[in-house]
Amino acid sequence: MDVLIEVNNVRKVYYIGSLLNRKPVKAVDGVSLKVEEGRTHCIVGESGSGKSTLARIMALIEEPTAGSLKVFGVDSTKYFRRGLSSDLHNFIRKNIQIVFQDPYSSLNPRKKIRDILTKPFKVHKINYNEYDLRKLLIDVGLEPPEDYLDKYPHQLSGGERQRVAIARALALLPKVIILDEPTAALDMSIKAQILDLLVKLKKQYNLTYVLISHEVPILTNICDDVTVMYYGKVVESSDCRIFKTPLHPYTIGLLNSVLIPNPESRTRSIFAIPGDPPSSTSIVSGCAFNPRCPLSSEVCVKCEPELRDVGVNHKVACHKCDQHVIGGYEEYRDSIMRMWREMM
Amino acid sequence: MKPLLEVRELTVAYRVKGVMKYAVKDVSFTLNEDEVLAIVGESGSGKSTIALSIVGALPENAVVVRGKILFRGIDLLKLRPNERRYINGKEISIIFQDPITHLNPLRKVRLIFKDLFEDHGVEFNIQGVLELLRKLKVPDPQRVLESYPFQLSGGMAQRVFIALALVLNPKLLIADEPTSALDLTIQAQVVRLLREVRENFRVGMIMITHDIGVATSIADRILVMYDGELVEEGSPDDVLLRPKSRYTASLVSSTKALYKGVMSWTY
Repeated sequence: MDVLIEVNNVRKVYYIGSLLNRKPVKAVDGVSLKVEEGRTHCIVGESGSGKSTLARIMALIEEPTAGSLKVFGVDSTKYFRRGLSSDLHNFIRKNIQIVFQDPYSSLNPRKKIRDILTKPFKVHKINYNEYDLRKLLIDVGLEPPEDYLDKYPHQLSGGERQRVAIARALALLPKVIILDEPTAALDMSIKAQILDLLVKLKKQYNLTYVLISHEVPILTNICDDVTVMYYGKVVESSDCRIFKTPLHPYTIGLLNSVLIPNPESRTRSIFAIPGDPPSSTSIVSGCAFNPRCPLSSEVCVKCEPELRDVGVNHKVACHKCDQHVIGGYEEYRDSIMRMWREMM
Repeated sequence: MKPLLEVRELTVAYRVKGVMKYAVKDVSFTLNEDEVLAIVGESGSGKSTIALSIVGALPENAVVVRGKILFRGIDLLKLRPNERRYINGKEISIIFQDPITHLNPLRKVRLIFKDLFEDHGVEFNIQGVLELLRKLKVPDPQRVLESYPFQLSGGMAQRVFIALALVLNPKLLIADEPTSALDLTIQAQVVRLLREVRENFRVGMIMITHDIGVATSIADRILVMYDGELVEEGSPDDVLLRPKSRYTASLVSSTKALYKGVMSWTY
């Protein structure tokens, strides 16, 4: 399979604070990953983990501080600069589209849906006709399209707006759509509809998705590959088997924090990873997860773990997990959970 | 079981550009002492309007068309402002999702507690506060009391916020969407904390949430709202396994469909 997006050791540092007291925030700190054609690549993490920054870098919105980005096999690092325009540049831009989390702020309130949908065509100087617009709306399930074309975003519900945002991303028939928390702002029943829509469109348009999300239960329905981020770094990456056999203690804790709508959940004790995630400006030496990790030892505080292969298509950045996993996977997972429960 | 709160035929409308929009239509329910009730609904279902009616914080354009909210026999809707000020914080407390924005940034935590005591004419009892913070598993409560809210971590601020809600021994605690839009691990922490509250304090609780997973993790009884109407009332088991209304059935089935990959996770 072709690799469509290759992120190589990308870093993004922001600065906050006053001029005299500038503090660096390492939003993305040395991330490498590959997005393969036809897959849904999920990037999981909590707020502050850098997943949205990474999405914006992949969409060529945000220029990385260091590292390289290859899109469709072309080194795209220089395409971040504004004003630079070439056929190749346009090709790349046209083929990577992004859908943002909040459909209330990502659609211009002064423009009709018709104008919102024609904008991509105009920017890329591509001919379009009324039929194209209507087909886009039908494909995202807004029917009959004539009811929507002359409305303003505020006349639509949240779910409908997100459909418009998806239609806009589809307009130029891109290869890749980056979905930045596409369902986070929506109600449960709407989430399910949007997810079904995304699955349908992926087949229909031969798309590759990069899905950024913190909603673990939801992405288990749709993901092929998974990258788990914590504090700007990748801690674990694999395919959807990661949900069965997570190795990194953070991934194990994260998956166990899901509140399952089961009748038994009322009596079952609720698990939460002890401690708080590091604040954006704090400096944690060694592994960023070590203050909360039950396996933490001297080496975890001293050196930062490398992301390394532990199996076919399975990478983990942890010093300790393979020593512990020798006794069998279930035993390993249960012992981590047991240690955590004792810490609480 | 004695009823703590009785909501009877509550109907609330918002006046929007001269038109009355009904947010809560003829809703009646009872909360017993020490019971935990979850009100589940999507945005616009009227669940938050109910919470705001109970604490008397409805926006200016809201009209209570009819109904009663009886709290230990007193109709909360007929209270004068000074009576309301006495009841809120002392008898009825409310917590929100984002604790930091609801804590005065210019006051140390100790002074925030002191203000609360003085507002209600209760003598400030720092030993009681310390004991409560310890009960809520706040490490080093002395230091926390001398901190400003922004110096607390998210989890600590949430605990301090809940301590403020509980310190005057209210009979009713309302949690208005305490977990929505939170990350998974933080959400789990908050629900865990509210579970501890429910086990260690004698307080009735109303939890407003759109997440049926959160509701079933904590509530004795669940109410489901749809378009201002109460469409379902039952135990978590009833709601999940034997929903009576069509709306609840569709909410449960779409949640289960979204959660199908994780339903079997029971570590």
